[in-house]
Amino acid sequence: MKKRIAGALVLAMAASMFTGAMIAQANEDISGEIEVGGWPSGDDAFKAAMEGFNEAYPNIEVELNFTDTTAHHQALQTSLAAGSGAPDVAMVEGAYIAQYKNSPALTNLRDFGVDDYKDDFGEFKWNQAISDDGTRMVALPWDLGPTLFYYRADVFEEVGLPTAPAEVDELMSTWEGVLEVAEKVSIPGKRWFLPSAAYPYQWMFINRDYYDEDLNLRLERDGDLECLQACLDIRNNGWDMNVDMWSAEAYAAYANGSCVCVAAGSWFSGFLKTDIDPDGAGHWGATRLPGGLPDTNWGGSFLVIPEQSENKEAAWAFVSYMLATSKGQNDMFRAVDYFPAYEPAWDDAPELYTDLDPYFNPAQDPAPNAIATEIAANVPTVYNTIMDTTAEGYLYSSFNAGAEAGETPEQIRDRLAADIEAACAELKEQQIQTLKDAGVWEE
Amino acid sequence: MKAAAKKNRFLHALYEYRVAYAYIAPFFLLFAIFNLFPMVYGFFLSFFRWDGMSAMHFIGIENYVNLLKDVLFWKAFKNTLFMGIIAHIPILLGGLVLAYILNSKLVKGQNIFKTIYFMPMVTSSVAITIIFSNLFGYNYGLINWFLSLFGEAPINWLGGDGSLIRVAVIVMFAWKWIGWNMVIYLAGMQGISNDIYEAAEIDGANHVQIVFRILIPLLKPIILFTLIQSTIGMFNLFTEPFVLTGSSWTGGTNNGGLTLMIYLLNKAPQGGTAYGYASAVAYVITVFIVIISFVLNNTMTDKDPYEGKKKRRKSA
Repeated sequence: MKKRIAGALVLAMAASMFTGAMIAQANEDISGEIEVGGWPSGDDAFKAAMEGFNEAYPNIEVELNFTDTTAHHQALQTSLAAGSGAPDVAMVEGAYIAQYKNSPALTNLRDFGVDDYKDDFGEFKWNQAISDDGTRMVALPWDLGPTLFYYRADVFEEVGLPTAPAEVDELMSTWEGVLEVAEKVSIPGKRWFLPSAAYPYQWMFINRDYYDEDLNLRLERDGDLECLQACLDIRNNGWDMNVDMWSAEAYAAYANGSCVCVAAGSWFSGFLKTDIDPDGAGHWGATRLPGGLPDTNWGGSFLVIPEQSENKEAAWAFVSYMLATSKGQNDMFRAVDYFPAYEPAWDDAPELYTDLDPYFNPAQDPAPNAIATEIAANVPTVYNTIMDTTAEGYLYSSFNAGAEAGETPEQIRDRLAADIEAACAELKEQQIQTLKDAGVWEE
Repeated sequence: MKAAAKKNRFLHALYEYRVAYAYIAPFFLLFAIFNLFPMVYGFFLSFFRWDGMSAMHFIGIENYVNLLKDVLFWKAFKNTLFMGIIAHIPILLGGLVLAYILNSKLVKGQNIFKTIYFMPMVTSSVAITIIFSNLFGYNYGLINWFLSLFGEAPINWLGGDGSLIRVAVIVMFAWKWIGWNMVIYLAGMQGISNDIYEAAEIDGANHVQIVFRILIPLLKPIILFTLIQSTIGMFNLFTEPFVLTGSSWTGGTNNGGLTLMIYLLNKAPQGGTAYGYASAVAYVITVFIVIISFVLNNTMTDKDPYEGKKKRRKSA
C-alpha cells in the first residue's frame, strides 16, 4: 500500500514537472495584488497583453486604475510627495519625465537588475530615465514616438501630387518643395495645408531639447530661420487653418479632408484609426518630416514603481513583462500603436512592422511602422528639464504673436527666447536646485 | 496657580460636555486634516525652494520677492481681474432679472427653469469648454458662420493677437455663474414676505420702485454672498482658458488668456515642480481674495439703510 502511494506520488510529481515545463516557466513564487495607474489608451494596451502576463505570473492580480493624463500626473505627484496613495506601477509621459528622474520617491530599478536590459533599448529613451547624478534609474521606457508626417494621399492625388511616401519625401525635402505642395493643396477658406503654420518650427524642437546641460536655452540651430520664413509664408498666404492641431476644428478637418497634412509621433496612426478618422481607410499616407528636418522623437511614456509600493517584486514583474518582453510589447503595439522602445520586439514579429497597413493609402509602401523603425534608429539623445512643457507652449504662441505683429524670423526667434526665459525663470531656479541636490551642478 | 486652575476648569468643561464635543469633533478633525494643515503647511512651504521630493531649502521671502517682480504674474493678475469684473455685469444683472421673472409668477414651471439655469454649474467644465470651442472656432465656429451671413470676415477668437480669447472666457464664466446666482437670489426673494410687496403696492409703488427700494436692499446680504463666491470663482479660473488655448501654459497668444490659476499650476504641481514658489503664489492669491471680500463686505454693509437705526437702538 505504502509503495503504491509512493509510486503514485512519484508519478504525480513527474506529471506536475511535465505540465510545469509545458506552460513555459510560469513564475508562481511572486504573488499578490498590484494596482496600475495611467491614462487611456494605456489600459487597452495592458488588457491586450494581460493574458500573456497572467500565464507568466499566475499569482499576481492586476487592478487597472485609469484617468486622464493631466489628472493622473497631478495625483501621482501629490501621492508621491505625501508618501501614500500612489499605485504600485504608474505611467509617466515623456514630457514629465524630467520631473521624476531624480525622485527619491521612486524605486531604483537598478535594484532589480534593470541594467541587464540596457542593450535592448535605444540610448535616447534609456538615458531620459537616469537620474542627473547617474546613480539611479527610476523608469523603464515603454514606447517611442518616431515623428511621421501624415498627409491626405487622396487630396494629393486629386491635385496631381505624388502619393508614395518616398516621392512625397523627395518632393518636400526642401522648404521650396514644402511651399509648392502647400500652395497646390490649399483652397482659400476651404482647404488648408496645416492646422497651424507654427508647427514646422515646432518640429525642430519636438524632441524637447530646449536646454543644454548647463541650462542654456538653445534655440539657434541649423536652418531655423529658413524654417521660420517658410512658416511665415504659409501663414501669410492663408495656407494654414491657424488653429491648434488638437482642437476640435482641426480634428474635423483631418477627417473631412480640409486639413491635408499634420505631423506627430507614430502613435498618431492609432489616433487616426480609432478616434479622428475611423472610416478613413485609404485617406492617409505617412513619410518623414519635410523641409530636410532631422529624424526626431515625439513623446512616448515610461513606467515607474513608487517607493511606497508594498509589492515591488510583483510590480517589477509586471513592468518587466510588459515593457521588456517581445510578447508583452507587441501585444500592446498591436492593440494601441504604441511603438515599442524595446528593440528585440521589432525582430520578434517583423510582420507587425513591415506588413502594409490596410488603413493607409494603397500607395503607402513601406508601411508607416517600417518608416518609424528607421527613424527610431536615428533619434539623438537629448537633455530634458522641468522647463520643457512650458517652453513647448511658447513655440506655438510666440510664433503666432510674432506673425500677427508682422515680425521677421530673427525677431520671432528673439521674442520666443525672451518669452521662454521669462516664463521659465522660476522653474529654472528649481531645476538648478534639483541639480545641486544631485551634486552635478557647478556654479 | 492661576494657570493650573484655568487648566482644571478647561478639563472640567471638556469632561462635562464630552458628549457635545464628541458630536462636533468629526468636523473639526476633518477640518484640521484637510484644511488647516494644508493651509499652515502651504504657508511654511512658501519660504522654501522644494521640488516635492528632494531636500527643502529655506530661502526666506525670495519666492515672494520674485513673484512680485514677475511681469507674467501681474499680466495674469490683470487678465483675471479684467475677465472677472466684466463677467460680473451679466452675472449680477442676469441673475437678478432671471430670478425676478421666475419669482413674479409670470412663468410656469419654475423648477424646470431653475434646474436648466443651474446646470452649467454642475456640468464638467471640460465638456463645456469643448462646446464653447466649437462656438468660437475660427474656421468652422458657429459665431463666425453667423458673422459670415452678414458678409463679415471670420474672427480668430482663440488665436489672433490673443485679446479676444478673453471674450470667450468671459462668456463662459458668466454663462456658468448666472444660473447659480439666479437660484440663490430666487431663494432670497422667496424669503421676503409678501406683505412688504403688498404694502408697497397699496402705497402706490410701481415695479421699478419695488425692485430698487425693497427687493435689492433686502437682498443685499445675499448679493454680497454671491459676489464673494463668484470672486473666488474668478480667482480659480483655470479649465476654461486652459482648454481653450489647447492646454498650453502660455494662456494663448501674448498670454491673452493667462489667469492666476494657470500661472500657479504652471509652477506646481501640473506644469512644474516648484512647490515652494507655487505656495507663495497661492498665498498671494488668498490675500487678494481676502482684501476683495473685505472691501465688498464694508462697502455693501455700510450702505445698509437699517444699519444706522440698529446701532442707535443698541446704544439707547
